[in-house]
Amino acid sequence: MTPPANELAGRVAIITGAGRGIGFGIARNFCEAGATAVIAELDSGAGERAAQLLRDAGHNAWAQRCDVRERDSVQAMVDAVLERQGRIDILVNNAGVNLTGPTECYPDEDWQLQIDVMLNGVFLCLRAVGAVMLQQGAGVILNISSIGGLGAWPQRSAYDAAKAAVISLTENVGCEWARRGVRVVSVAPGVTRTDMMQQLVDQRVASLDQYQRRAPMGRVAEVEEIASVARFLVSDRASYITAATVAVDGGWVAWDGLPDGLAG
Amino acid sequence: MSARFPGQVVLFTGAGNDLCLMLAQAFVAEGAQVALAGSDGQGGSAAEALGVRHFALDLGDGQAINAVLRNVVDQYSRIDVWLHFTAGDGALPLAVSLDGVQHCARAIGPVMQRQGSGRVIFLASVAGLFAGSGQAQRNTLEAGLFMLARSLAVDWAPHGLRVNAIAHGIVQCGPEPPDARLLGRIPMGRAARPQELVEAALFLTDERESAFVTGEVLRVDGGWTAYHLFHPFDTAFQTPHSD
Repeated sequence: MTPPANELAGRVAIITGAGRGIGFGIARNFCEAGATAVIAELDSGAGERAAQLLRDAGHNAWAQRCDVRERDSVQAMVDAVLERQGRIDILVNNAGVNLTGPTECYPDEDWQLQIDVMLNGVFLCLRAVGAVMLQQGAGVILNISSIGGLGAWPQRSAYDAAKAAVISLTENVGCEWARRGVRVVSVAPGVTRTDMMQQLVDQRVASLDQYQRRAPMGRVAEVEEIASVARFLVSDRASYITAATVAVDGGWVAWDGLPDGLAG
Repeated sequence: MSARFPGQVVLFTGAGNDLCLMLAQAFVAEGAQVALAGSDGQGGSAAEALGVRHFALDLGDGQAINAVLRNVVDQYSRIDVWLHFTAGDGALPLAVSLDGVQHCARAIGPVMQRQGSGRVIFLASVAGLFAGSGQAQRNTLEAGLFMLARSLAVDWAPHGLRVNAIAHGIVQCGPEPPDARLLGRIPMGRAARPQELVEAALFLTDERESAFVTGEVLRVDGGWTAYHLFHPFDTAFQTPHSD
């Protein structure tokens, strides 16, 4: 009954944007469970360094440059993985970017970049890898959404719109492929201790203290706490879970955020 | 492979159905001390078969609930995990049943808070997420349990406790296949195997796996609640046009 330490042995997992942050944590976690991780990164330096770190720890990992915004780049990445590994068992659509600002004067390029990476990019990878998985008759796609996709964070309209769209995509494609052996699931992390969070703190969008107080658990997530849920969801232990999103947020979205004794 | 919950005390309430017993067995296999609290009859004999303690618990009797749970704590001195099943409450009116679970929560919460740790899981049906026709009573009970899980999660998070729910669809416990018309509604086209619910519960219990998950309703439903198109599940889009 104990989840075997090597429950992902022999599985090939592509993780986009895995050069750092949650993506890297997921890659490391999957490797620890025996998977081969393909670090699909726009920043090839970061991708190579991440893969090397994993190999140094005795894992199977390699990096492939990929711009998820470009169909040809995505297809080239998928072809490279098939050539080298012969199959794809897991895809984690993780690549993301967070640019905040008032919506009434939001720059076109900031909107476009976020929609391109976190919505179009998710679709392009899901379509290309999904076709392979349907041929195999098996596979799991895990999309990284956000609690921002479950509720409003003013001045993050593009990020939140993309993350909400990812939940919808998960539900739609999860149902569409449910009888064909391919599961599509999503996690919605709360605020997680990463470079992205630190950037927002440095830009004074919010303080760490505010983030911590907003979560009922009184703290932000560690990367490993997101990765362990990701691992469960892609494992065979979650074989009846599809078209579903799991919030990993310390109770954030469950709570109305009012102090004790003030009722809505 | 080491056990996941060695020595931990796992209390089941609303206990007695087949799924509950399979879960109890799984926790025993993971090294836990399991106590089943439910109505007499099925629960009692099943507990005996599993070699675990059974406590007669009537969710309709608040005073008795307190006494029973005090007895459980006296026996084990702690409660690490509390799992509640809605199945088995059918005999009780909705309000009484929900009230009974809240009675349990008021008794168990302080015990876990003193420990500074504890995990709670409510197993309830997807009927609490959308309305089954002609089932207002049941839909409301299941939805009430989901909200109770979220509320307790918010209240107890500062004390280090986690509270979650599992929304399950149809589970096939015995050899009898469920009604084909129901299965036709489910994107995956089949019922859950009990082990699939067991794994979800073990996951939500395991601090190494779900430490930051609380106030969540985990859908283990084969896509049921995500699907909003026709009944039965439309087969027209299952094959790519290019095939």
